Amino acid sequence: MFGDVLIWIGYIAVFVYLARKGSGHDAMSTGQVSFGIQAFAYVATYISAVALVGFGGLAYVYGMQMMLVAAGNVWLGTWIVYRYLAWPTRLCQQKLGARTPTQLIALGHNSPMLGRCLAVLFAVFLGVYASAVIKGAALMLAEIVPLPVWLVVWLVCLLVGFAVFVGGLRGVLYTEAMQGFVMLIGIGMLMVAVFNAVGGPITGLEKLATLPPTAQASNGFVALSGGEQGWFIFSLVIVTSIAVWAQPQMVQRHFALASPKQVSRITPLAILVLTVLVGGAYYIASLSRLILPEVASPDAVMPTLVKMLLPNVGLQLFVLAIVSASLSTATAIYHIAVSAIAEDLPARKATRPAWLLGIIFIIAISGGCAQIKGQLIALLCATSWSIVGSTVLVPYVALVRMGKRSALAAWLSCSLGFLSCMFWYLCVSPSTALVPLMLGSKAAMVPPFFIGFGFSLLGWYAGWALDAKAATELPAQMQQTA
Amino acid sequence: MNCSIFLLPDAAVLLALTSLVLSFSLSVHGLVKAFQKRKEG
Repeated sequence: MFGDVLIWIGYIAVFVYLARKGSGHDAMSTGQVSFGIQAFAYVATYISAVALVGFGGLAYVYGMQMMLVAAGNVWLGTWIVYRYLAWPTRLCQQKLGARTPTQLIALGHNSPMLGRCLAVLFAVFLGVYASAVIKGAALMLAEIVPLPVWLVVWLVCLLVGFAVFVGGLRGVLYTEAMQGFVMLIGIGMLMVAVFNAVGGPITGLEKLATLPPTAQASNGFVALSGGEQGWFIFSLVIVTSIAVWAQPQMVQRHFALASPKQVSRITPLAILVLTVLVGGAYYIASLSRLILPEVASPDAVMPTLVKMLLPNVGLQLFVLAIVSASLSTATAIYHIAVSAIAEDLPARKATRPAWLLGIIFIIAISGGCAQIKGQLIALLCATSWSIVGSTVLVPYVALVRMGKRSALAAWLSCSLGFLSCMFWYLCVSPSTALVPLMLGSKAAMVPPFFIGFGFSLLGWYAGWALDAKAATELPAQMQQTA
Repeated sequence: MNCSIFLLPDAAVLLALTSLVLSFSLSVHGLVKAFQKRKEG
């Protein structure tokens, strides 16, 4: 018991110490940050508790085909990002003088009004999405802390708000890096325990291959399923690995880059950490079918595994890892949502009081939403990732990778991407449709991100063709013209 | 089903597993190279 308390006190002390690393810096600037911190921060922002616990549960249900999601996250979601997008994003941001991802798109496409609209979108969707992330951490914490969940939710909100207020972007990067490291330790411990229990990774795979197929793993647990189930895995790969390119909290990580040389150091470390984290987590969750009794819900797989295999200290460390996964994502989302309210919406540099007010507002939104079980909130949480990706992916990549600048094209692309994705969620997607339209079972299987991305691309090309002021300037030549 | 490990997973899963092993090896190699360069100068 005393050891457990020590672990938690130590964790909070390091968290506060690292958050204070950013004090004295502007809330949007990072100063010099080493490649190790940036690599861990990128991975920690990417991987939330949903990925570890939720997708770990899916790996139990679907088997080794979930390794496709891990591979997609590593190669599409990390390698491609650092190879093709990260440094051009940094160059664009410097040339345009953008302080936030919203400003990057607004200044890049010469449309301040587009920036304001994106600020509202990010504040609403990310603010509410943060409630789900925080609730995940609070539910995990409530398992070991003798406090009611509602109180733990507010305490977690305050802790995240503190890091964002005191540390700004620099503090957020440092705390995320520490949390990424804790996640690595937690998953590493569980990997050793599961491999021991099943006789090793190769033996485990061979045993898994002998299990009979199920409805979800229709070709067995070491093969991609056919039909709807296989399509579901494929869509999960695309949504989690490509929509991530334009999530503002991920784009902002590139603002701390110092040089292309630093990028070449961050890339292998981020890939290594992500490979171990998601590859390891899904691999052992698939193998857990060999040792776990039937579980009531896929979400119970990872916690049950931990309780079954790890000693108490390990349990505490694993809970820390999951809480870290949630907190790191929450601090990144908070920072974006607060900067949207305090700086992007009024279109002027945030003052310290405005920054504080923004934080209080987001704490109230996310803490409040986490307390209520509303259909709208559930919808916003479920849709946030795809909606944001559908809205800004095309204009963002066109700007930083191809140097295409057009207000009309950006407006059409963002609007069509947002509206079509939203329409698909509200009217077609079976799990979220409020006004279901009978477009057939094939249409219902298409993920909303695919629809949003397709329309966003169409909107971009239409706008580009119609815009007389459209121009191509490579990131190195860009200047602020708005 | 009692056959070699390489015949067990179907092509997609085999591809995923191979690419993860590759990402692990290449990233370790990349890090070692980066540290060597740093040491040299």
